[in-house]
Formats: sequence, structure tokens, C-alpha cells
Amino acid sequence: MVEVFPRLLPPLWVTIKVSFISLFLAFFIGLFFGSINSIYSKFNPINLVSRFYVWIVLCTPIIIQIYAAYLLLPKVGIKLDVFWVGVIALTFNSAGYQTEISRASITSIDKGQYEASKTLGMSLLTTMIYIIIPQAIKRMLPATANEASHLIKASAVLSVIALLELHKAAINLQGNSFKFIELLALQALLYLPIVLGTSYIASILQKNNDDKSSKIDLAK
Amino acid sequence: MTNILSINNLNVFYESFHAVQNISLSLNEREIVVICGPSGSGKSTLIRAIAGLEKADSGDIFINNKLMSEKEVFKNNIFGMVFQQFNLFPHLTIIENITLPLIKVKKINKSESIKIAEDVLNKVKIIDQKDKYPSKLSGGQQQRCAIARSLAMNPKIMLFDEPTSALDPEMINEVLDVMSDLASTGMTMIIVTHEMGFAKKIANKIIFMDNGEIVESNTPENFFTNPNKERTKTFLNQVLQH
Repeated sequence: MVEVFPRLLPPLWVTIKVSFISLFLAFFIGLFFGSINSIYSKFNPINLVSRFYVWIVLCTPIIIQIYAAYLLLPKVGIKLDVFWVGVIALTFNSAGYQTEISRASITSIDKGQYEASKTLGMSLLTTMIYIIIPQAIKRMLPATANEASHLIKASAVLSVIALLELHKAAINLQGNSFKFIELLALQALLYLPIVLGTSYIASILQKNNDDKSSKIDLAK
Repeated sequence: MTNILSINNLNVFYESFHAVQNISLSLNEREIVVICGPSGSGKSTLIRAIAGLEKADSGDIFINNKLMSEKEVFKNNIFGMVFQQFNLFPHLTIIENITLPLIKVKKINKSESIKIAEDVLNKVKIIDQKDKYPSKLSGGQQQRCAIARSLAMNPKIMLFDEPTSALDPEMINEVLDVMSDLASTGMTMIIVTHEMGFAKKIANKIIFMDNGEIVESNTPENFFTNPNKERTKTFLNQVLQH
């Protein structure tokens, strides 16, 4: 067991990279679509496209999205390293969920905030950037942390396109050593700290925000 | 006296409900108009339509005898609006609430905007709270901050939409005092309020609305002692009973 452990560390790093790069990219895509969704009417062309996109992501299994990225991207002339194919597939998936998270948070901001900004002469873009989105991001945090832990675990499915991430590496080692159960346990143990660490960071961020401007002052 | 605002035949519909019906109103510089009336009478809709927050279905709004589009009205900060629910930005400190629009809209640099903010916070007497977040302030202090924020943009006319209706009785006075101070500096104001004592003291003209129409427009003296309309008398009997 001890001798295979170091061989799982580089793949663990691949898992972390592919998950967090995808999360990061998907966050901005989600924020963009979520903002457009919540401020413009249903029939705005961007909204129609983004609703259709979210619908596809939410209604198909991630494994199909990964295969689709792997098989279709070369067909349209995009030949990428398998790592970046993984990033594209996970970003495609996560952005769908994060669009929904952003939309829900932005919609939940009181309309009085828009009215006050408008009467102060602020443009809609300025209002979104400085007033609405900073407040919405705080509300998005718990759901985004949830999505992060979901995505880290879902990245194991990238093994189907032979990306040497943690799960794929463990499968390869199982094939060599026949230590199936031990390697299963070991990879589970390696996923654990990443997911827990992510939730922990999110809870710290959440607490920081609460201290600064919560509606209810707990100290009183 | 120069005319600063005239409204001609303003109409606002909510679906088929005629919330504001053919209202015309004119306002001179330094004049203070109080709008009162029962709930649902359209007074909030009227003031929000003036501010550009409700779409008027017909009617014109002239500023200094010039017809202005909604966009120009916002861009030139013609109106400062104070809301019942304060609508401060909860993620910004008191001073940031005031400096942000100055920096982003008026393109004033940071140190200059802080000077302006401190000046208006002094006027509303909450300068000592400037680095706190709105949630740490009392309702009265929050409303005074909201007034300061509007004032900092240097509007021509201040609009108040029931500024004290969400406040505890104790805090109402501190907000009314700030508004009285503002009146004494010569600010032109339109105020929607239920505070009849305050209206009597501060207003040059009182408008009574019911069912989306102006029922009576009168001087405060005549309005309270000798109203023209029967409907005004019933309303006054209701609100002045206690």
C-alpha cells in the first residue's frame, strides 16, 4: 500500500487542477448567463440560448457530456490535450448548474437595490457590477461550495476518456497489483480531504461575510 | 419664483387598474409639496412615476420648462429619491454607500468624494457612524444615511416616499428634523407622508389624493382648518382623531 501511495499523488494533482480550473471558468460563464437571465425577459435571444443550454446540461448524464466533448471536438477541428478536453467537458457541465445558482441568487436581491441605484444615476452595468453581483455572490457561496464538491467527485468520470486523474490512476494500479479493495479505499481517502477542504474554505468565507454585514447582529 | 417642475396629464395603469389618473402638478423652486391620502390612493405611484421608477402611460414631465427623457433625468440627477425601506447597499459601509455613486456616476475622484460624503453625513448628523455597515445602524440612522446619499448627488428636487413609515415612533423625529433642516436650506421637495403634524409645519402646499386623482390641493392653513372637499374632511377626521 505504502509503495503505491506516492504514485497516486501526481494524478491527485491532476484531479485538483481539472476540477478547479473548470469550476473557475464555469463560475464566470454561470455569472454571465445568470445575470442576463435575471435582468432580461425570457424571450431575449441570449436567454433562449442559455435556457436551452442549461436544459441540455441538467437533463443529460455527465458521462455523455464527457464523451461528447471527446468525440465531437476533433470533428469540428479542435484537437486538444485530453486534460483540456476534460476541462471543457466539466466546464460545460458546471456552468449549467452555476447559471442556475447565479440566477437564483441575483433574482433574490431586493428590487429596491436596483431602484436606489437607478435614482442615483447608475447604469444597469454599474449597478450589476458594484451593487447586485457582490451581494449575490455571498448568497451563491453555499450552493457553489456544494457544486464544487460535486464536480470534484464527478471528475472521476473523466477516466473514461483516459485522462490520468486519481480514479484512472487507481484503476491502472489495480490492474497491475490486483489490490482492488485497498486501492478503492485509498482513492476514496484521497478524495476526502479535497472535498472537505473545499467546504471548509467556503465556510470560512461565509463566516467572514456574515461578520461584516449580517442583518442580525449576533453579538448584541 | 421660477417653475422647476411641471407635470401634465400623467397617467399610470397597472394592467387595467388606473393607478394615477390625469394628474397635473407644478412646482416652483424652493417649494415643498406634501402628498397625502389613504393607502391605495396612488400617491406612491405618482412620486415613483415622477422619479422615473414607474412607467407613465401618458403625460409629460417638464424640468425647468424643458421636456426631459427618462434617461436625461437619471443622468443629470434631477431627482434624489428617499424610500420607505431605505434601500441602502448592505455590502458597503455608510461612507461607501455615498462615495460609490459619486465615483461611478459623477466621476469624482476618491478623496474628493470622501470630502463630499463627510460633508453630507455631517448635515444628517451620523458622521460618527461612517465606517459601519448599514445593518449596524438604527432605522432612523439608516434613513438619514439614505437622505445623505441622495443629497450628495446634488439633485434639483428631493422626493420622499413615506420616509418615516418603516420607523419606530422614537426615530421618526430624527428623520423629520433632518428633513426640516433640508427645507430650511431651500431644497425643493415632494413628500409623501402620513405625518400630518409635520406636513402642516413644513409644506407650502398640500395635495390630497384618493382613487388615483387629486381631490384637493391647498395651502396647509386652509387644508386643515377649512378644506374645500367633503372627502378631505372625512380623511382628516380619520387621521386626526387621536
